[in-house]
Amino acid sequence: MPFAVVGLNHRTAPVEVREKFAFASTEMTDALARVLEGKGVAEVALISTCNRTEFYLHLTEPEEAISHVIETLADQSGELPKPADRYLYVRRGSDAVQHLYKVVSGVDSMVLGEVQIQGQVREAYETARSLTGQRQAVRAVFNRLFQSALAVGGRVRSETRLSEGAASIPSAAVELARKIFGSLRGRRGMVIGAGDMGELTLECLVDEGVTSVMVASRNMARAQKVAEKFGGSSVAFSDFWDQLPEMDIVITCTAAPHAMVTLEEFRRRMPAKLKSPLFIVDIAIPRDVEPDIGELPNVFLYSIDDLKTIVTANHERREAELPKAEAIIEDEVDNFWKWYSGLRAVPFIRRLRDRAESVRQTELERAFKQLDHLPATDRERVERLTRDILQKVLHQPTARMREAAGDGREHDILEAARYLFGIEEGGDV
Amino acid sequence: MHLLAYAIAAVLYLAASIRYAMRFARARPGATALVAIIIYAGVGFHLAGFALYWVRFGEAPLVGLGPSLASLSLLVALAIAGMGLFSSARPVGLLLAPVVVLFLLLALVIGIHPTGSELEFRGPWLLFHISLAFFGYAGWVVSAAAASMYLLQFRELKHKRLGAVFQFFPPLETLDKLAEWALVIGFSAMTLGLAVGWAWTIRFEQALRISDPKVIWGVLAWLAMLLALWARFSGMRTNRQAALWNVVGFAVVFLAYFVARMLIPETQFFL
Repeated sequence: MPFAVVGLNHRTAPVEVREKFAFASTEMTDALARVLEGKGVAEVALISTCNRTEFYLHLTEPEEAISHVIETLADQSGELPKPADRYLYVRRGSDAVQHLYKVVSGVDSMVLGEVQIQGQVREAYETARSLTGQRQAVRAVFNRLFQSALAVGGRVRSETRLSEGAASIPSAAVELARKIFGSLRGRRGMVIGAGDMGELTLECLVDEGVTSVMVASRNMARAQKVAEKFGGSSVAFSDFWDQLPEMDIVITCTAAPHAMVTLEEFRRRMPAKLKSPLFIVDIAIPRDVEPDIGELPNVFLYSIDDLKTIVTANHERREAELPKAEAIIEDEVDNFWKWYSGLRAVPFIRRLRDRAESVRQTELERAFKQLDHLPATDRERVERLTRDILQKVLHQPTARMREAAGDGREHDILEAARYLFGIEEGGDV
Repeated sequence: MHLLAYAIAAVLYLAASIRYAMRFARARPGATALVAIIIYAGVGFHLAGFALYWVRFGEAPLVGLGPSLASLSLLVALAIAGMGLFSSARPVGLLLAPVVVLFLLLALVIGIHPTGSELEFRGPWLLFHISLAFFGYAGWVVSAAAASMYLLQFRELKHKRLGAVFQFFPPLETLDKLAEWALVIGFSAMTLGLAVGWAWTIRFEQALRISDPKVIWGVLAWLAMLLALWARFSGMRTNRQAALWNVVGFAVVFLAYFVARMLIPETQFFL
């Protein structure tokens, strides 16, 4: 089996173990070089994210090389509660190819269908490609494997709904905000309470272009810290009402035991008719905002339960798309495998072409001796003509031999070709 | 020949309508570039039909119900094509493409040929007057479609129903801006169109025929657009209320047209 993947992911190891195996971006090239030093490794790539650390290997001597990679991973992790190999998995041959295709498509992700992994795989591939010379990590086979993997990821995302809809509370909030405001660029956002989930939601909104971030919290030090992180300003908790009329998006996440944004106060402090929409995300338990506020004109109020409902519905929809995604992956694994198997015909094809070329050269030389009077331009024409004829004659048998090798019929077909063209196995023409 | 071009355009618009509807029914987000390409192809044939008509009959297809519907639908189709450049606005074609199909099929059934209507002033002024009025109506059709979608999307977001409307329709802000721009353009064109018509009627007849049903309807349409604009820019209404005024005003004028045509069938409506 010429391919293998060795690694761990969110299914086989908890986060405190995964982070020990993870490679920082500055450590990646050294890790790749170290694996390449091992016996039997022809090509290697390393994917290291918060949810997985995996070495992809193209091997000439599988077992020795795999042991070497396991040692490398064990060295990276240091001391662990259990032996390193308890967290690791090894997949070989077409299973390894299938695994890569699943990873890049988001089928193997913690959040089913997540899209960031496509970029992470692309980065891993680029990092491996950056190693050149003696330590070249990616050659023809891995170029093809990773390019096809990235194409599979794109195909799964365009032909299925695996990546559609928000898959987390913060991304659900962003999705809703975008349906209200369109672009979030230049919108003003406020977080009241500055809890972890509020901060995470604010981060997602800022990533989408929300500016003028304001943080109101009873803990001013915490408010200032969060505000600084997003280039915003902090405000005393008691003053948040003064800022509220200026906001487009408000996230509430306090630990208050009762609603802080009451209908009565809202009516007193806010304009009677809001000209533009106000999107309120209440992710506190118990709720910070009285639900009746959501009935007011131009106010869109969503609680954490509403967002969870969206996320659950999207997750179910994504799950329903899995069979389609897996069918695409199966199809593409077959295609890759056919291409890879087709490489078995390459040495024979090369010898066949070399022999044909040698015959052409010899015959051409002989002919030109007899056609001494031909001017240089005509000689060139004759030269090109013979080359074109050769190409055309050899094209069909070459394609058929590759096809036969891809289908596993290479033995009989190549035997027949050797007999017909008089080319010995592994020998000279 | 012009009929063939119009018929091909109608088929392409129908294909685009089906494509819009399928994507909406599957609750997919937004419309794809493919549907925009189909619309562009439709507009290409539609323009060819328009030009061939002009070459054959020596006048623009603006007089008579059939030619008028064909030309009005061309303007709406051009608006869809324009929106096709912006992926966020593209889904508005869900409502507009079937309108184009309906207008064009009606035109084909009625017959797209000069009716021989004897209007008082032909030539470039008629062309200006009717073209501007058509721009006005087309703008209003687009504005009303965007406003209707705004109201539906608003309702879905308020009630937290995140189904096909939520997924397929554009964001509220996009719909609001689109309704606003289309109304402003439509109203400006309509105002100019009415002014041109008025000035030249006075010049030819020395008086404006106030009792003419088409004049009454034109003025009613202009007033309804003015009210919709007032609702939008007065600052006294929310965006949702402005959209509501827009849709209700459009519906009233649309109904008035049918009532007028049924009650006074002999009148010379250009539509």
